[in-house]
Amino acid sequence: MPTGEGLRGDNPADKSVRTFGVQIAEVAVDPGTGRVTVERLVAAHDCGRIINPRLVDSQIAGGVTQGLGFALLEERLVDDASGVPLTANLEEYHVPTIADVTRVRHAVVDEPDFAANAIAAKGIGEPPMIPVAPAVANAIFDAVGVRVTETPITRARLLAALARAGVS
Amino acid sequence: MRPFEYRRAAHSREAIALCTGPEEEAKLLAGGTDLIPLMKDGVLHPRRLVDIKRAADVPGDIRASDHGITIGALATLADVADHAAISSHAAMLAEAAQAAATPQLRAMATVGGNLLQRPRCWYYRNSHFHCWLAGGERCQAREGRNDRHAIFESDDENPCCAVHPSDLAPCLVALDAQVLLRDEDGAERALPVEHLFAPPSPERRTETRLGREIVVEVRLPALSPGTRGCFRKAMSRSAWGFALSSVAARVDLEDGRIAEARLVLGGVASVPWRARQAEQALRERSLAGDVVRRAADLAVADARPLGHNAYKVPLTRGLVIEALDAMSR
Repeated sequence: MPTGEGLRGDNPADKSVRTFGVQIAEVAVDPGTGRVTVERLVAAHDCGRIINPRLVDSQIAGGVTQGLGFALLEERLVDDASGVPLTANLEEYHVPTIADVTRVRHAVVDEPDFAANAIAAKGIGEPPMIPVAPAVANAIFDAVGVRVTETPITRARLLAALARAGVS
Repeated sequence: MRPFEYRRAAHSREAIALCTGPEEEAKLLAGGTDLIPLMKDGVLHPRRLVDIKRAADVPGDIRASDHGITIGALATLADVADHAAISSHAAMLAEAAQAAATPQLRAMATVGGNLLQRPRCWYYRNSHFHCWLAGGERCQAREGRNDRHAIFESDDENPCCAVHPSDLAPCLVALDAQVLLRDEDGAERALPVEHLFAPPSPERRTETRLGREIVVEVRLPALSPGTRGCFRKAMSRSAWGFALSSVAARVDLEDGRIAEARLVLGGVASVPWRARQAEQALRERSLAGDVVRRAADLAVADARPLGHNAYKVPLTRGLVIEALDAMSR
């Protein structure tokens, strides 16, 4: 049986290795109640050569799910007078349930990045979490014409922004 | 969690008899989905729990007849959500039960306990604060983070600004349901579910006015064929959340005219909140768009939001419109 040793090797000294990505979100917004439903989300991330497709799909589904939490739900509230956290358990600190997670489509890029390292692959752990909130916020803007510039985009923040803009 | 004694009552009289001493000393245990977390959080520390789940004279079944539907106090939320007669004759109640909590909690939580559950206020449930409702001096929520608190009767004339969390209660009020209570002598009294609730006061720091009594059952009257109902609930996410605001709406239609209306709001006051002005504006009218919008405006006309919950005003208004529109179709 052939045997061998592989090595990812060092990052190049003269280049900055980055995982680039794009996400597009489609949302439905009910301006009457401030409810936001993420209908679809497509994620394309250039993580270089894809070695294990299932693993990358799953990193993207997981990262987008966390990103949806940051975008719409997860908020650490603290009592200002005492400094005591009020959302210190999973009953008050709301992470997405399966009903909050849309179908995430992974638009596979799979372009080996030979300048990155010997295996031409780049990391895909954190990157899918990052564009979710801005994509959702942009989609909300596209839908109802108001910018919410703080996350999570709760009903409270969205209804306040809609009221300021005179939309209801 | 402090040590406590566990007793199982064979019948309601024994259960009440075992509840000796001051109110906080002994607690009735049914589903336990609220009581046990309150004990774990150090808010309540009863010395004795009296389990009524096997009390022979406290029913857990649901019975339908020509006179209405009777729901045993020990019926679970899952039983209510799945019951054919409730789904066909009082669909909003089934929807409300289905919208509550999670499947696991709905399989444990009882109807009686749902009515008697305590507020979800994060100051009340955090023993660090020892708030007014928990026996302390003042309400920290009124000046603090009151994002999920009351918009009706929330000002400083009221000692507490927490909201009643039940999804069933607004529906039961809207359906003119009665609750049957039994005392330790076996004497029973029925009262409208609406009258079970009262804002907490210095003499009674709870949201319900029970004596040394046990909730036996809830009775839904038979409704007229023209009755329509609708429940709408806004949560911060799609499932597993208490209502930021909810609406239980009912109209009795006669040839398209609203003969009687109920509009009951949840998650916005210390009790299920009847929007009486809005109800009045619906009577003798139809569910036309301008009538609906006027009713929605009136439903929140008396709202006095706190520092962080102004969003509940447009939210509640939006839910009322949604509910009334749904019934007009």
